[in-house]
Amino acid sequence: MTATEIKTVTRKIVIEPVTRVEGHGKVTLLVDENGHITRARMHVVEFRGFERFIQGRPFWELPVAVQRLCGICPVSHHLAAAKATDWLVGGENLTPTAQKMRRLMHLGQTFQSHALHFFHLCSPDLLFGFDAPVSKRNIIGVIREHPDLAVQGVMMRKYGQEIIKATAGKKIHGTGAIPGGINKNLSIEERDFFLSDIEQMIEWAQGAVELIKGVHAQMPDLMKTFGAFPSNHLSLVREDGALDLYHGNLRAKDSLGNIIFDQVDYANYLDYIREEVRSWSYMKFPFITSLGKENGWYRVGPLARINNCDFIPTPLAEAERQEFMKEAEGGTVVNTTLHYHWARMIETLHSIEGIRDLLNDPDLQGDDLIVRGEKRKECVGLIEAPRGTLFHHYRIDDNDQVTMANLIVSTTNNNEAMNRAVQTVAAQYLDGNEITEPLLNHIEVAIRAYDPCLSCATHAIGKMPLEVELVTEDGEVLDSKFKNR
Amino acid sequence: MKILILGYGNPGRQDDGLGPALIKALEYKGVDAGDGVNNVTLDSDYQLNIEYALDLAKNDVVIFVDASVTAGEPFEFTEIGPSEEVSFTTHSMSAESLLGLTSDLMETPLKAYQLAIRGYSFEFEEGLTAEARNNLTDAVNFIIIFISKPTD
Repeated sequence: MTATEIKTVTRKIVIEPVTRVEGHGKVTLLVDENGHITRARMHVVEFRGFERFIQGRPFWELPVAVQRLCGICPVSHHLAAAKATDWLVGGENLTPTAQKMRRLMHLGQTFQSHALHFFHLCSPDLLFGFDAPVSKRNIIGVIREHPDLAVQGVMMRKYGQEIIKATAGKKIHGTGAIPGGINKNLSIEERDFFLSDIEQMIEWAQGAVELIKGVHAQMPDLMKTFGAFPSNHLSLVREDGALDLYHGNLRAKDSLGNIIFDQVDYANYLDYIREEVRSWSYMKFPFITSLGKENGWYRVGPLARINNCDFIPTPLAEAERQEFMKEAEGGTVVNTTLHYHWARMIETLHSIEGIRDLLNDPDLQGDDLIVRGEKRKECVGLIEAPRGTLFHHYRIDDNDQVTMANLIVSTTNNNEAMNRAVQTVAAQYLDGNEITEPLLNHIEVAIRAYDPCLSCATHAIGKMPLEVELVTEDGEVLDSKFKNR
Repeated sequence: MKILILGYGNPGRQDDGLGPALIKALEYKGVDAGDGVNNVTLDSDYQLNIEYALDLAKNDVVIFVDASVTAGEPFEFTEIGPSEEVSFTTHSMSAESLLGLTSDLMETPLKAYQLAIRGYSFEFEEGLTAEARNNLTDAVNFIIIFISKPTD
């Protein structure tokens, strides 16, 4: 027998894109000749080139310019850049009106983003089961069997979008947040418009929490084992340990709930976080420096935030957090992928409670909008975007032009966690089996739990290629199919 | 007739901004002033999503305006219908899928068209290419004539 003949045949099965994710995600399952999965990877095309593109631009353009990064979450980039550039103009201590307007914008964004994800993207999986036929497991199926839920999802999304429009000024390239403040307040008419529906929105958000709790109660074993793996968790928390989506300091916990670091000023993030480059992925892999590449990766987003905070400063959401934390092993940290949905709905409830509190605050009608102080040359802005912690870091020169930009987006922070989720689920459900659509969907369910944003923000008709490749470990392409090419 | 013209795309990605650019041009020309044959509403966004079902349901006719990398020059204008295909990704959806959602959710009869304006470059940069600007001019002139007539 020659060396060639005894060589183990290993095939790579590539599925691209992951349906209902932006179309640039690609899952690679490396299987041996017996159909056993040896490795699983999720590939993502990242925002390559953008950081170089904004170099040389005047810093005051940043809060608007960064919105071109992504048509999915422009508000997150808008606010992160605004928070960063606040420092450049010495305006980091915002006026009450400015800070509360930005918080309202952010909570509106979180509310609509979480509602869209839950009602229209995840609910088909949760309501009909992961193995349900594709023809049923979609939003049309939800409309036909649960029309009230579908309508609620649309109305909640619309409500949040209208808040964004009222606070950012417009839907495309909003200008609401500027370095050192904002450029408009909220009128009495706008306030009353939003208050007229607020109680209905709170009721629907409570209903969504009950819905996801019901799913967990019906399938406790599945929910606790699907994509479950220990991880570290990173998020902002307020100085008193409260959940705060807009501002705070960095806290990291390990999988058992032990503090890795706490109340770290995010301006010093480079002392605590590094990014690893791997040859097979364009997206970097951040890790906690003190734990190293192998053990320092972490989760961000709703699950990490609920795990990390000591309490939620709105009563309905806090009551739900306390119930949620009973799911944690030892009452400390939840390490289960599907608990992202539950945590996301708790944040939805918190967001709408927070919106109600802000709408009733007369500071939103204030006229003191901008602060200026000592100018600086370097700045960092962090925000808890719907999908997780978002870092913006800039340096400028004497001409106020950007000389350096470093962005770590939420989905990058969850990069290793999503890869672990794919690998864990693949090992649980695909090893040794024929790769069928329902089985593949288990992988997609795991990825969707993280609500990744893989958008390159270009969506023009015919611009979204679909590639399916079958290649050997040596790189030989056994089969390749394209769609929309 | 109540007509909604909805342009979508990312102006920060060159010709991907053709949809919003057409809406801006129509606003400049005052076509939503309410003095024409039809009652015209203009709107633009980065992408389509579920909440637009509520806006679509308030109209008799909707015209979706998007950039296209495959349409014939200068543009293609076609009537489209609802689709049950779940073509939307995590955070956006196609015009046909949005029509399907509107139809199922709101049970509203709606006539719909898609204006696909040919674009050429989609990099991180503000502003349309010269070729796309020419196509936009033709598309604007076409739409102004289209909405100046009864649509049924």
